[in-house]
Amino acid sequence: MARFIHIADLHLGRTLHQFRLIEEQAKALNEVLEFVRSAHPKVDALLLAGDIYDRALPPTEAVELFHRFLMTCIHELNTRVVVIPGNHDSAERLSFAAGLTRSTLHLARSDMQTWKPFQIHDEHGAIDIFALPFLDPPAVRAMSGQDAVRDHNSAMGVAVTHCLEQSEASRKLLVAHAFVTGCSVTDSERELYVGGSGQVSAAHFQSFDYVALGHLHRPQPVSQQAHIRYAGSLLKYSKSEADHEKSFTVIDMDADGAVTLEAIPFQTVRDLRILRGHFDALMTREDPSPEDFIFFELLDTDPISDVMAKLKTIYPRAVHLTYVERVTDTAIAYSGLEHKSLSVREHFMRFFESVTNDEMSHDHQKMLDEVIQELGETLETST
Amino acid sequence: MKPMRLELQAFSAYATKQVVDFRHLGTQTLMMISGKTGAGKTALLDAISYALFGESSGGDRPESSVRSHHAKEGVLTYVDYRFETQSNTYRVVRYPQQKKKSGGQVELWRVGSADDEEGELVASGKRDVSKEIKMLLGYTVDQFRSVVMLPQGQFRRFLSAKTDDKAKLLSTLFHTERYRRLQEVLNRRALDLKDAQSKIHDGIAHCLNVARVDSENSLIEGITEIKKQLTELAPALKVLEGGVQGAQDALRRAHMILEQMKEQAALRTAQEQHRAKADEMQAVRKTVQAARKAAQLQGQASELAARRTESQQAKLVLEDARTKSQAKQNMHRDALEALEQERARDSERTAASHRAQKLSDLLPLLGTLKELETSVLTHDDALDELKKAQNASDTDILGIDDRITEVKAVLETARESANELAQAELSVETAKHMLRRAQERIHCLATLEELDTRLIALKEQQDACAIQIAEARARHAELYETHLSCYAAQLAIRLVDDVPCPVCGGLDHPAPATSDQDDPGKDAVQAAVRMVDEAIKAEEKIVSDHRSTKEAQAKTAAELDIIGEALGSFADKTHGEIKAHLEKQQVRLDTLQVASKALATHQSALERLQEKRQTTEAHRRATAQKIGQMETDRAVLKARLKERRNQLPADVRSTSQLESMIAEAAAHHDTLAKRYAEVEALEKSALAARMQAQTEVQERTRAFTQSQELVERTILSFENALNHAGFIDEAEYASARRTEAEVDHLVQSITDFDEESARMDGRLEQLDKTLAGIEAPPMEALQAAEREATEALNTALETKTHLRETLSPMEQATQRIAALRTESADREREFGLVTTLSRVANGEQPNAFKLKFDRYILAGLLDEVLLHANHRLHGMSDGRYQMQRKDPSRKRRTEYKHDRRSQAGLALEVIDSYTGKERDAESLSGGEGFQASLSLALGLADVVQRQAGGVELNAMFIDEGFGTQSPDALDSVLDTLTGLQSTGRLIGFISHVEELKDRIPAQLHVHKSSTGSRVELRVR
Repeated sequence: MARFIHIADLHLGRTLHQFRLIEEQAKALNEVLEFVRSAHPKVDALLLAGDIYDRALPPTEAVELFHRFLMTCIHELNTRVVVIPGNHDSAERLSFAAGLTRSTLHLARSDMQTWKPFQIHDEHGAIDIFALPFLDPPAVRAMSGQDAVRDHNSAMGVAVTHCLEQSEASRKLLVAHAFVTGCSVTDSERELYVGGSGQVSAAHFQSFDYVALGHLHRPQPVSQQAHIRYAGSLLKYSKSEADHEKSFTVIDMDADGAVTLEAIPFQTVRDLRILRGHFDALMTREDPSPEDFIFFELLDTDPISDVMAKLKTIYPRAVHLTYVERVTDTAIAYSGLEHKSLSVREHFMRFFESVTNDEMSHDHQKMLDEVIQELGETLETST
Repeated sequence: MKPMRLELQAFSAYATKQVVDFRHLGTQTLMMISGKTGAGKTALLDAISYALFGESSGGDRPESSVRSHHAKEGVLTYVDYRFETQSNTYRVVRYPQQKKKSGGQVELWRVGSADDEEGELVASGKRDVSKEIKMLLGYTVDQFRSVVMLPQGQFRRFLSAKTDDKAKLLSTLFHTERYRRLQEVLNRRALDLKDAQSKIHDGIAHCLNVARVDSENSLIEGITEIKKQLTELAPALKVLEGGVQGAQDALRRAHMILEQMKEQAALRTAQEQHRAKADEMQAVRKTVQAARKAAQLQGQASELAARRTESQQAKLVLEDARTKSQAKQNMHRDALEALEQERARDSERTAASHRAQKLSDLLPLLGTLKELETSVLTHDDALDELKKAQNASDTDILGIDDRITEVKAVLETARESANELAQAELSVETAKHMLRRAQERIHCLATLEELDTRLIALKEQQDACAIQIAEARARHAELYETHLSCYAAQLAIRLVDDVPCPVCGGLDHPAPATSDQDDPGKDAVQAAVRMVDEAIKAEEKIVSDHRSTKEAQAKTAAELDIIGEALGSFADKTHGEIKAHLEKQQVRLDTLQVASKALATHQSALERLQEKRQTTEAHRRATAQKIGQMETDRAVLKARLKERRNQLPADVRSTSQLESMIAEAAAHHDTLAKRYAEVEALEKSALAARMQAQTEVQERTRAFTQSQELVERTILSFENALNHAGFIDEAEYASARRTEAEVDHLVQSITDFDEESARMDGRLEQLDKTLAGIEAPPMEALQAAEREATEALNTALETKTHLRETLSPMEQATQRIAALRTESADREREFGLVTTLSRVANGEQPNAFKLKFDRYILAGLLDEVLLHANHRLHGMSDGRYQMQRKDPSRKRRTEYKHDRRSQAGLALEVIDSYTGKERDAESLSGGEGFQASLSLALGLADVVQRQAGGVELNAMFIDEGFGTQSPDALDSVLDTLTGLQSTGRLIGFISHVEELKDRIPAQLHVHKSSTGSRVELRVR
């Protein structure tokens, strides 16, 4: 039997408004390492399905954290690691030095020539692990010479076909970063490109015994097929993820390639919550864990002075607040002000009445009409 | 303004021509302009701004600096920008002033499509183009920088613009001119009404002045007085008019009588003069009678005249015939003389005929000569041909000989190759054999190496086993000892004095065995023994393996030696070298095989060549024989030719010459004969003409005599008729003749005379009867009475006219004044209404808020813009910020006061929901300020697009600013911009932010190089 751990969407170095999350990220990674350390049977490989960093140019502390994680896995725990770049990563930067340490660390690269199986052996023989980077359709089109590659879906089709041609073992596993059709999304997943969703079909993955996916932040199987799975993100990275339970996935694969899955929830990290209520009530209530990251939804209609500062005296990690009752004020629905809907006459009547606090007499209106008519004439002659 | 195509050359960072076709963006509306620092990203925006307005995007680079430093001399700097407005497509081309060239140049065209070079020239020259562009786009360059092209570091322009500048921008974009105009019209109307009032006042004064009165009252009094006088004057006037009528009637009657008396006297004088003409009239009556008689003789007189004319004509014809007859006689005489002359030339004609015949006899001899000459020439040509053929054959033979020599040499080489072939085949076989041996050697060496490695490993294993055995043995020894001591101690416990010890048998147990250790047990000891055995077995296996490996090593070494011997001289060569040797030998063998195969081919070639040489020689011999024959024939022909030539006269050289001589002689003879015939015919015809003319003369003489006789008979008959009618002779008859019109005229004058006599008599009788007993009237007295009556009437009428003339202007003045008074009242009322409206519009009382109308409108517009801008800003800042107009008098800060527009300041501030307080928009940080400015620009465009007016805001360019955004905010800003896709508005932005490159499918990338940059539009 072979055993794998699947995590994804680490987004190391990400901030939540002004809060750095590096500490929470370190804690979560530690939980993964502790599991590996004490696992029985032993874990054969760790699969990291993309979005390692939050940005193409990650802050140094994020790079250091990832470095420590890899060192512990490989050198101390003798566990192999498979890493692919996601859409937030810079594939070139992440796969720096790939190939130097092939037997222990497999880093997916953009070059199609390098998409070869990484083999793991157990008592039943070999398992082929394919690691695909986040695909750039034009690049795949150029590398494969297939003009039919127009979008992410066709690019994934070409990439998977290429992998399967290289396969030697009967058991196959794929690590990929993509937006597979039919899954639930959050505010955190940025559109893969402007003006398109970049979705790919789950049908491409039918030849694999397990597909470790990254990109979507909610842990979930794809289209009720347990063996095609998003591990979900390391932490809750946006308000819309408040109701998620974040976890990492443990996969046990038997002689035939059948898998048994277990999602292990993260324990020690601070939660991210939404608190809705009136300011006074929020300031006086007993909160079980005020140290959590909190988004406030205030029901007050009038603004409260220095509200953020006041909230922080009780909730030091108050992330953001919105006045939910006032939001409609800014909606475009209001049309009474629309300049063009009123004539010059109506504008002047309103103006007159509001600055004199008096209605305009009939005679005044008649005079106004005359003047406006003259105005019309002069406008015509001037243009 | 929708950008369609941008073309530039030698502009800023770009040395060569660059074209950006924005239409390639397709449905993409978000475009990133990327490239290294200094590559020329901003220059693209500068180019658009420069094309439209002649200024850079930020307004900070002068026109003189637009030329590229990289540009080659002679390459012109220009920008050609095409864009679409709501109604048309335009092309603007701008050339800056360039070194050694004429001044800058700019043209604006309206084109059918963005690909057209020409269309309708809309404007040219800086000033006109600027004016047109402002009209087309609806904004100035400053306003362009505030809302369309947000320049680097200046994106806050509109956010922090002063109220006046904001007002100007909003006013331009939303065409609020009319609201200000409304104020102006109101003000002007108030002034106009005031003017009108004072004019009315002046008008009344003028009317009184014209009526020559001081006041309106004295005017009314004056009118009443004059009307009274006019009423009194009326009856007196009637009496005076009656008097004048009477006097005029009496005077008219007196005039009539006087006229009749004058007529009576005149008539009497005229009657006497008329009667004096009566004798004259008698003579006229006689003339009429004579004329009527003469008219009866008219027929006979006419006939006589006709006969005389006929006789005259017959005489003229006779004289003409006589003249012609004389001429014909002369002609005949001349023809006879000519005929005599020609008859004298008979011998000359015979000589010419003889010469022609003699020359004709020479013609056949000339034909023979010509045939001979042709034959000689044919022989010459044939000889030339044959000699040429002979030369060709000679050349062919030489060529064939060379070729034979060559083929023979090749043949020799091929033979040599065939001899070498066997030896080469042997070499190749040997090399192949050696290569197999070398392969075996490599295999053996690898086996040896592997065996060595295995031996070392086995040695290490053997050592480890030895240690294991030792350890197992030690463990066993220890366990066994412990077990024994424990067993002893167990036994010792059961020792009883006097019972013999099972160990030593002693009855006394002075020192019974004890143990403080646990007994490991018999099984453990046996297990340790098994372990020792296993370890030993393992060692034995390793030793056996080692031995077999050693044997294998020795066997392989022996094989290697055998291979070494087999390789012989190749022993010190590597596999690669041997392979190379083999390839070389193989190549040689291939070459030799090819060469020997060619041997047969060369042999047959040689045979063919020799055959060809024989054929050619035979041909040459035949040709030489033909040449000999031909030369003999030619000599015979030449001799015969010479003989014939001698038979010809010396001056005849050719047939053509002879023929022309024959023709000449014949022509001479023909000329002479023809002339003789002509002269003979001429004489014959002249004689006939002479005879005919004589006959005609005789006929004409007869005709003339007959007509003379007829004339004389007619004269006799006419003279009888004259006598009968009473005329003495023909002369008297002629003088009595009158035409019919003359007769009618004379008759009429007689009738007129008689009628006039009767009329005079009648009238005189009537007048005598009327005037009988009447005296001449007293004219002077009657005239004096009439004059007096008229003068009295005129005096009275003048008085009346004077009164009316005084009254009329006074009445007009009263009417005019009344009208002016009415008008004044109307104006006064209007003035009140307009002044109120005008004051309110200008922010004066009763406008309690001192707010001007145009400012009120602008504030309303800005509020509307803010409504849209806040919608964007809400998204970008996750609902944190909201913008509003600053209200100096604000009491409740949470709501907009839609009425009164909050005193209508146009300065902006921001509400931060974190603090709940307003902040000056100026105090926003770089990132926040960028969001606010971007939102504001988008809001402006939103609202402007809803207005119908021709302001073109459907493209926006942002030069940097994304770098100021935190990662979270960047996503929000991009989401907002992405959301604009549906508006169709093109957003182009410059950014260095790396990750945007992957996310924006439309990239305008600038490649930088040392010779100038290059731009490329890529759309994924």
